[in-house]
Parts: sequence; structure tokens; C-alpha cells
Amino acid sequence: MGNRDDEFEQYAAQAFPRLCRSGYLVCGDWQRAEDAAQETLLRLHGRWGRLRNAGSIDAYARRTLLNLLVDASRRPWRREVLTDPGEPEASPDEHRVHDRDEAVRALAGLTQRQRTCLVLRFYLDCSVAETAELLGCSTGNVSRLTSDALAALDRTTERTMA
Amino acid sequence: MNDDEIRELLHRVDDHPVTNPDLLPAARARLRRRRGAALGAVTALTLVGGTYLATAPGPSDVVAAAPSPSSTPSASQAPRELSALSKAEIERRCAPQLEAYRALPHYVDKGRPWRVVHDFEYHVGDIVGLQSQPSMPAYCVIPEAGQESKAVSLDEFAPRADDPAQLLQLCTEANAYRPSTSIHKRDVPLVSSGVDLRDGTVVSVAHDGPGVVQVLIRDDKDLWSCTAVPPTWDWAGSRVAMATEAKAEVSLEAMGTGAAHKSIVPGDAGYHMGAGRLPANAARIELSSNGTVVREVEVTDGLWNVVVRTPGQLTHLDWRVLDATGREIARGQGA
Repeated sequence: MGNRDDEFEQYAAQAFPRLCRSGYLVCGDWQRAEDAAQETLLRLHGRWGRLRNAGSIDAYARRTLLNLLVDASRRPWRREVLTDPGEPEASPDEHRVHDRDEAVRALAGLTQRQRTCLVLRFYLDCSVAETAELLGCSTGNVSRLTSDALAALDRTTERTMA
Repeated sequence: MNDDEIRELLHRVDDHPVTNPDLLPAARARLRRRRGAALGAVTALTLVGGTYLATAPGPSDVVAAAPSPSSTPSASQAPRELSALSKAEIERRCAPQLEAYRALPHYVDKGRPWRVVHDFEYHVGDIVGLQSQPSMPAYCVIPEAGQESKAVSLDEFAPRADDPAQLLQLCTEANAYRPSTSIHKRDVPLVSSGVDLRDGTVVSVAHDGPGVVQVLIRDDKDLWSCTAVPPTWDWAGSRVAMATEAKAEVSLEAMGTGAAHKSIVPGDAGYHMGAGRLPANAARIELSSNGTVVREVEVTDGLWNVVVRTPGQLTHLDWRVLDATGREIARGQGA
């Protein structure tokens, strides 16, 4: 039993930040992302033995996180308050914030499905097949979602540069 | 934008500091609650690292005191049971809980013993279905040894649209059919072995008020449409049907509640529900009654899911499947 709890604690410590950040990228709300990450790990604990034996802990965590975020709300990504991008003589920290805000604005222009697809493919490094399974669509649709999302991001960044 | 640039963009956004909470005490507390199922279906609130987690307690639920994140389990806590339980042991532990079903006329009992329906692996805290003879399965939350006599409210088994894990458990215990999405067709063979969907993914959930929840679930290889209903509803139980194959057809099941439909569920109303996969070019479904559109259903990647509740008597619904331009792909009459 101690072994089980030790394993869980070890896993939770390394997985929690990743789940939070993945959740945030999907929903755009840190509070919801943290709640979903915690709930995911709590549910995982209850099925630890079965999932560990099946070697499917990561897959279960990803599925549960997405289920929680997608089921809880269909609200669009929250638009964060941006810092003034035209501020001259910005410090390195301010540059970092500006870069981040640009990225936030670009992601906010995507649909939730497009964002989720990008997160799975390029943040969690899921294969196309895994991404299709998690999104409940075909691999062809994953390719379409990805290319649509990248095209939308290109348009957003072009507007920002103009 | 290439792959590396999109990776860089995603990592630019993820710079928020994250503090790891101590989840183990809360996880242990949840396990104890599930195992005891104590106090009749406790849906507890848990305070973890200053974050409030809730699993939507219903009006009849008991809310337990929140454990402190820093609390440690005491020596008096019951030991864990990690191994799967035998059918005989599950039947023994569940017998007291199943007494509650005697009050429901649609559970035929006649004193016969309750038997676990499926051959799946079950642990303490899992929901399991049992039958006394061919009829709808009764649900039980497997209690920890020594806790068998503690009552569990039947409300615990009413499907909760915001709880995917519960829906997956209920649908696992549902009567299973294949290969059609037409779950109301009696000639579709029963999948006697059942379908263990507990590690599946909830693709979508639909409901129209409390009661019936329609769930679309994906497991390792198939798509499943599940109609989950509370055990207190005399609708012949929850059902799950394979929905993997795309069909230009909207197969709806229709059921009614209230005296008008000779149901013990109060309130005259008709329900139409279904879920499945349409051809990829389908964009929406129009449901109409007597020429009036009563619901438009969005179709995403061919997948659809709907529950429509109409007050009063059950009426026929007609359906049309349209593509993104509004062109009709298929039409027909539902149940």
C-alpha cells in the first residue's frame, strides 16, 4: 500500500505541472486548469492499480483532463488583459510579457478543438492516431484541424506584425 | 508557422508558476468515502491546496466535512483492499444495498438471489450491476468489508452529466447491443459479455433536464451510444449500443414519463434521444414535430448526440440531416 501511494505521489509531482499547463492551453483559465488537473489525479489514484498494470496511466490522465475541461464548459478561451504592446524601451521582462501576450492572443483566436489538437500534437507530443482518438475524430480530421489552426495563427501573427 | 514555431508559441504561454499540492490526503479521503459509500452516497467537497473541488452534490446528497490538505491518515483507518473482488464476495457485500430496489415495481425480485451481471474486474467503491432474474440490473457501490449495512441512496446512481467517470461506470453496467445504433430495435442481439467502458473517453453528453443522459463514448476501437437513466425510472434500464459505423440515419429512441405513459416517473413528458455517427459531410440535424422544427443538433466530425424532452404526450419526430450549405443529405421519421 505504501508502495502504491509512493508511486502515486511521485507520478503526481511530475505530472501536475504538465497537466495544469496543458489544461490552461486548452481552456485559457488557470483556475479551471488547476482544478481539472487535481481532479484528474484524484480520479487516477482510485484506479491506480488497474491503470498501472495496463500501462495506461498517462493516457487515462490525458483523457480525463480533456473530458473535465470539455464537459465542464464550452465557454470560449478567456481573453486576458494585455499589456501595452507599444511601450518603448521595454525591459527584458516586459519583452517576455509582450511575447507571451502575443501568443495568448493568437491562441484565443482558435476554436477549442483547434487549440486542443495543437496542445495534443505539439505540447504533449501525441501521435496523430492518439490525437484522433482523444478528440474522437479521424486522423484526417486531425490533419485538417492542425492545418486550419496553423493557418489561423499565421493570419493572427501577420496582423500583429503589420 | 512550422512545427517548431508552434511548439515555441505553446511554451511561451505556459510560464505560469505551478505549486504542487499535496494530493495524497485528499486522494485517500476520497477512496475512503468511495469504499464506505458510507452515509448514503456522499458526494463530498474536498479542499485541496486552497482549491475547491466539487462533484456537484444533488439536493439529497450529504456533504461531508472537508479533510485538511495537511492531514495524515490515522492508524485507525480501515486497511485498503487492493485486489479485485470475486463475484460471490461482491454479491454478499451488495445484498443489503439491494433491499432498496424491492420498493420499485420494475425490479422483479421474488426472493431470488442477486447475481453480478458481468465478468469485469471490480474493486471496493466501483459501481456494479446485479440481476435477480432477466430484468434491468440494479446498481450497487461495492462497500468495504464491515460497511455492508450502510445505506446508499439510489440517487447515487442517477446519471450526472458533469461526471464522466460515473457515466462510464453506469454505461459499463448497461445492457449492451451491437452492431446497430438502433438501440430500440429488439432484434439486435444482446452483447451478453457486456462492454467495459470504464477506461473509455466520453466524447459528448446530452441531456434535457434531470433524468436521462445520452452519452457518446469511445473505447480502444469502437464508438458507443449509451442512454443512461436513473434506476428509479421504469424504462427497462440503461442501454449501450455500438455506433462505430457511419450511417445516413438518425436513430432515436422514444420513451415517456407520467401517467399518460403509464410510468411511475411523475410528470407527463416525452423523450427522444440518440447519438451516433453520420457521414463526414453532415453539419446539422433538424428535428421537427408536425412540421415545426423543435431542435437543431450540431454535428461535429460526423458525431451527434441529443435528448429532446417535450411536455405532455409523446409525439413522432421527423429528422433531416443537412450539410454545411443546408443541402439535405437524408431524412426520415424517428420513433
